[in-house]
Amino acid sequence: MYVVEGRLEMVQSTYEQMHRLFLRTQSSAPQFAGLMVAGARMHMGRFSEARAGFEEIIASHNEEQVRGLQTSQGVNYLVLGQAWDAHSLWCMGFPETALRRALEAVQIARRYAQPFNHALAVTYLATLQELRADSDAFRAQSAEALSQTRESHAVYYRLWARILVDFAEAGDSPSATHLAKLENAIDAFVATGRACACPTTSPCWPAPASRPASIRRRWR
Amino acid sequence: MIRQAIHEATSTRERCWDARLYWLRGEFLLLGPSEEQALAGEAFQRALEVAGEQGALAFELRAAVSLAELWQAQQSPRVKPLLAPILSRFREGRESPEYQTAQKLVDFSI
Repeated sequence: MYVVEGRLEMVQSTYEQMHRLFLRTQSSAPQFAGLMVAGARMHMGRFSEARAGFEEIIASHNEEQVRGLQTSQGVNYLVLGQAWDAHSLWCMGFPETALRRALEAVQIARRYAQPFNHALAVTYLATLQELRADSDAFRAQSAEALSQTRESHAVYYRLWARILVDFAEAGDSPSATHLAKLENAIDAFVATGRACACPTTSPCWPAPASRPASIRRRWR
Repeated sequence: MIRQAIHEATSTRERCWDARLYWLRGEFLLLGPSEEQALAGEAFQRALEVAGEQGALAFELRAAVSLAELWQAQQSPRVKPLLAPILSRFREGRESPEYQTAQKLVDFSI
């Protein structure tokens, strides 16, 4: 929740509390416990540190533990770790490795057959395609993300995928109507409590070079 | 909106999009009157600095390409010294449109 709200300092302090509890009850903290801290570091732009954390968590994962946590808590830490790792990798200049990681996240989510995590993975994959500037893949993945997130009733990711689909449409046809749809989609997403400068909204601001001046001014 | 996003990113410390935000700011400034266009280069430079600090090579390239295009239009000799070291750090993704654009800018730089 603190990651989504952009309260990244709180992630670190909560992790420290959790770590102490693990030490008190189980003598050591499992690797996956550091996932949200690594995610917070990624959001803070500390990509190298974040990636090291993701890689450790992915390498040390335990199938039984992944399945158990997914059953009890919903989130699949392996899927989320792969999706976040993919994002860090792209930022650090590894676009092909990033794409492989993001595709692996989708495959893993399918293997564990849990719709919410599949919705999460396809939404991150679609976002990555936009960063990679692969417009055909972006359009296709966004549509798949929207469909998957609707099917799985994952509201947060559905609103995110809606932005991606509307952004793709606005990119193809930058009319005032399409831009208004995109703006509404961003407003709906931000209304969930997500900070404005979040990974989903900022990449989706229209690239200005292809926009008429009268419309571009709205985004300044 | 970009100013607001930069402000919010600063207050929440969610800095992972800072380089992209400064780059976008530069792109939008280029569309404005000449006094705003003059500020675009500063925005791209800021994007470059932030991306460099964060080790975000992809954003560094994006900002450098925009800055290089600006400098090329001014017939500045700084294009190659700006882009070549960034391109040399890529170990993959050399087929990407941005890498190719940067390579062309280097090849045709004065």
